[in-house]
Amino acid sequence: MSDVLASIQPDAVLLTGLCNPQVVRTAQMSDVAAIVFVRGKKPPEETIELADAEGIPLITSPFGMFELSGRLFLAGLPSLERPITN
Amino acid sequence: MPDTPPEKTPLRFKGKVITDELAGSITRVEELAYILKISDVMTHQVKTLRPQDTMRNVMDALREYRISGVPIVDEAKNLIGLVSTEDLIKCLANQDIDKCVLEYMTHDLVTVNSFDHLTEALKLFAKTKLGRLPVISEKGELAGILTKGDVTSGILRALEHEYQEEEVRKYRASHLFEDIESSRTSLILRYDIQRYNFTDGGAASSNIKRALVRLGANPQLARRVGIAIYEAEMNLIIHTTKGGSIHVEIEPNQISAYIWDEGPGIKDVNLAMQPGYSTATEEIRELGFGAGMGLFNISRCVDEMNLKSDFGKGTHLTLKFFLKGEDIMGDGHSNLKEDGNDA
Repeated sequence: MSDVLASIQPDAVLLTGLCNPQVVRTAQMSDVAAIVFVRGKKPPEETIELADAEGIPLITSPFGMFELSGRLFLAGLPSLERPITN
Repeated sequence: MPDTPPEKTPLRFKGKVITDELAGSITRVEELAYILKISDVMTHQVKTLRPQDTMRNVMDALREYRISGVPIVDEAKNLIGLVSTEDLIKCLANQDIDKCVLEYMTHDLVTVNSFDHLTEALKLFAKTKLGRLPVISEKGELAGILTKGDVTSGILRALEHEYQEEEVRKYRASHLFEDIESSRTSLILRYDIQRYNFTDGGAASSNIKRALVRLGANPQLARRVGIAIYEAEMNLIIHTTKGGSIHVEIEPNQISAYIWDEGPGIKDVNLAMQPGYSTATEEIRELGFGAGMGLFNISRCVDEMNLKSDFGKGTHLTLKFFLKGEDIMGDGHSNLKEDGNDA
């Protein structure tokens, strides 16, 4: 999650395999526009409730992280990760 | 929105494939049509007449209530028909004013359900060119009438409500510092953080970030402060023996955060500051934490950072954010070029 906070730019979409509420908190802190859960994962109720309260859309994708990233990249989605420099 | 089938989309997108570009231009009003229920905007108190009433009763009702149509209901409040102004004109042309309403009323009615979303009614208005739609409740009774005017004022009410709530909050908060006079005004937010409380983990930093936005902080500043304090908050949850405290002091030209705990303390502060160095357990890593980026991340977000730790005693972390130019808080969103000496 710290990696997300360190490297993601505002309005990015976060792809993750983690489903706990901390994902939503992390997303909220780093101004993430939406969260996509990979491999068809369905987050627990408390994650959904928190996302609802913070107004962050949740999406579930049947694809794994690698395939989903690849598909989105090929479809022309740019990376909003920036290198971590001190 | 992109995957919504065409028939479920706002009218101006009807028949078009919704591309991302189009979806991006869906307005808040169009969104509201999917959120508001017909029962939220319809007219509830509706003047109705009975099947045994006459067209003269209709004429009187239209005059008295200044309406353009009257629903006819039976004893169980079931809708039987509707007499419109047009029906009344036909009747008057026939000089038939004392005839029963059943003779002139429209039987085949287009109705909507009170529990449906507004968008269903909008589709019907567009398709049928009708001016009003009787609304039927879950029990099958007449619940109200929906006119295009009801839709407009309902949406305006909803927009106004949303706008006012947030604007009033922001206005009050953003004028806080200029409204209160003192030699040095500051706002202190205090939070107690419990060890291993992952359920509420991040709630404090989330509230701090929200407070800053309401106070008029620009998004980048709120983000920097939010990320730094979130990392510190998670450290208290993950690494301390008894949890800890967060105090944030907000002043017009600087934000200070004090985060401290009573143990166990950090053995080697320099090592802890290195990106990738972590003492987190496997269990913590599985939750997505313990990448060893926390303290390093904090240092990147703040203007000043002071970390003191005594192993066995505890850790004190002081963070400072200096606000310059338009970042200065409490000026009610105006772009103060100079701070002045009122702080």
